[in-house]
Amino acid sequence: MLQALGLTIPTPILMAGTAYGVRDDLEVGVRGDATASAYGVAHVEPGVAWHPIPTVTLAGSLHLLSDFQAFRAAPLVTGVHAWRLGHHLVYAGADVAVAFGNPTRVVAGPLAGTELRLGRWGLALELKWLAPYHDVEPLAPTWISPAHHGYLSAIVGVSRYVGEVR
Amino acid sequence: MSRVLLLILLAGCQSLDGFLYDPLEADGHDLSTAVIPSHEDLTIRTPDGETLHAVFVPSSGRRPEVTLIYLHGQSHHIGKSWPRIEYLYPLGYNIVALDPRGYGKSTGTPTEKGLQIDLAATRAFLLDRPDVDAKHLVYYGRSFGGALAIELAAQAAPAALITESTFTSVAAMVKDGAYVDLPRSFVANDRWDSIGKIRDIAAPYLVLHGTADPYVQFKYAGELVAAHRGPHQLVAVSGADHGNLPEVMGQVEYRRSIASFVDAF
Repeated sequence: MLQALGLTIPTPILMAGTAYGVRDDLEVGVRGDATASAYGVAHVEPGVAWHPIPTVTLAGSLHLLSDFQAFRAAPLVTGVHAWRLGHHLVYAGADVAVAFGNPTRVVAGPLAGTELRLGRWGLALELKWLAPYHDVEPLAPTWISPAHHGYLSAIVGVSRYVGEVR
Repeated sequence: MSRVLLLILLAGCQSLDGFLYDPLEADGHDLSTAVIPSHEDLTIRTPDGETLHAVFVPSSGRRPEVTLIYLHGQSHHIGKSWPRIEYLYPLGYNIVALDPRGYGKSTGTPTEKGLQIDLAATRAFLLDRPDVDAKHLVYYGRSFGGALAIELAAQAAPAALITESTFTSVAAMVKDGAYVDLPRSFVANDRWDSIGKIRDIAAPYLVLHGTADPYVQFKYAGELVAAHRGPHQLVAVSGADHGNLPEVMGQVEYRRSIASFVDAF
């Protein structure tokens, strides 16, 4: 959390990554978490995405975190359906992660987003509701927890496409 | 196709250290004389160059040989804690209220190591005074100040130790506050392992905690008492939350609980 202008806000997490299309329907990629690094935690997320049909994505990735004192791993599976609006996309789906630890937790939730395509650039906005079945009271900041359940996550993404783009 | 992604995610990550301390600064304190007619400002120099401000409230007469060191919690300073000092004043002890580094008028930035230095420096400073008896020191810590009081008790045994609404460790707070199992080291540098320290403290220990505390859970009080190997007493204040324990108890009962415990030793 950060405190600014008298407000307590969640720490923006800056991630950078790259993905490569090995086939028309399959891409592999990896992301790194710059914000976690600033807090002394290495966080990388290798993953793979498969498109059984062009508008559906099934993705799997593995979150790996360590500060060289402790280690955590969390596999993540995501399913998304997309719709074209001209050059742009809207999509909706859900993901589920298993955060191993004591206790091991399942973190699942719905997501929806859009990507505005501007040439080779894409600007994405995604909203996700993590673990909406979890009652966060009394210890979580409730304004990111609708009806005191789960945690809202907002993602702002900028993509730069290179090579052949469809 | 390949693509490069740059993502900014807004999610629920936390760095706990700053929120644990949340020091409240002040240029000065306007301390009421309505209940406490006089006090003495103390300036304490630490070995690492910080200057701490404390206030010495002389005994109202009942037990002048006892000196109670009051350690406030996060987001507080001596001025904000003054009503609590007024509650304690009729007990008749000398009372020392300390602003550790970063709080009130004290210089510096709070860290676990730095605050440990502050506590040792404060105790040493007080023992140089003729009106402070080392055999009759009582440490009282509220909320985060409870971790300070337990740390001070681990450094040098008091006649009695009192904590109010405090936690067992940063690791426990992280574990109980996060849905997933986050290691303490992912979100906080400092440990404040009170539960580990209390096992080696034999001084009489009074634990006050509200059963309806939504912030520092009541279960920590039981865990601290269970780990303590000396004489102890847990006062569970039914319905009290994190900030209103004396008010829910009533001032008279609040003071009676403290006096009956301290006066027994």
